[in-house]
Amino acid sequence: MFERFNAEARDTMRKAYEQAREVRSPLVGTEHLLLVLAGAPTATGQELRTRDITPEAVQAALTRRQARDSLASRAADLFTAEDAAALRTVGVDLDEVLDRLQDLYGDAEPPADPGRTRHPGWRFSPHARKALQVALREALRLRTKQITPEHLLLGMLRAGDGLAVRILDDLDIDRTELTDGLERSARSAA
Amino acid sequence: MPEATDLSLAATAPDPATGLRAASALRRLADVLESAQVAHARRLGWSWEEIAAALGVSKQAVHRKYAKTLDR
Repeated sequence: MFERFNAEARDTMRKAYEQAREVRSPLVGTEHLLLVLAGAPTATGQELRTRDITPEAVQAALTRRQARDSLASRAADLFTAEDAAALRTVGVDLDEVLDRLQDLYGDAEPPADPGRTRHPGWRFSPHARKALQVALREALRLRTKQITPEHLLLGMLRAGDGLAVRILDDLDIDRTELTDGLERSARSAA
Repeated sequence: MPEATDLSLAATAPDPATGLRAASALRRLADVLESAQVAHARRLGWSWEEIAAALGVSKQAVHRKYAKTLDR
């Protein structure tokens, strides 16, 4: 699956998978990728930590979001903007349904995805999957032979969806400024 | 005429891709709702039989799906 990834990027994916398993998440989400990227001894990690995006800061923002809207935010990670649009065509307002569920069950621990907790395997959230697709596109656009951690983060930023970018917003990060910094880093490494 | 009808159907019918995506998303939404409700019912002390009856499935099916993750 990761033949086009360089060693650092492959390591990022493996650690993100381990992180998801450790917190019993049934899916590897963008938040797990961000957590790992922030702590890695790579150029991307440096770009993040220079802007005070440390693993601790990411974890704290993640915990705050999960405490604030546990069911809604975890459930929302299962759906993309395209899903919401598709549901609208049949008269279902996804945000409203999730808000209602949040009101009803918000304080409760949402149960783990049944049947998947024991054997999560390489299952990505829709946002993570989209971010990986965009990462590949970024690598091609920047004319590099392999996908690096820079491309992974660029993929998340350009895809624009998912917990990771919401956490970056919470941490007052200028997405454009970070994207520019990562592109410079990616181009100089190529 | 059948051809004219086909054309007008193609012009006014929604894109199947969107409809199929909506069906997939509704299925996931149903799973989220079901998960939340089953956990809630268990917290209120409902038995697996009662939950299964309300869901319209067998007790075995609901137990197999949820027992491991909820009864920790």
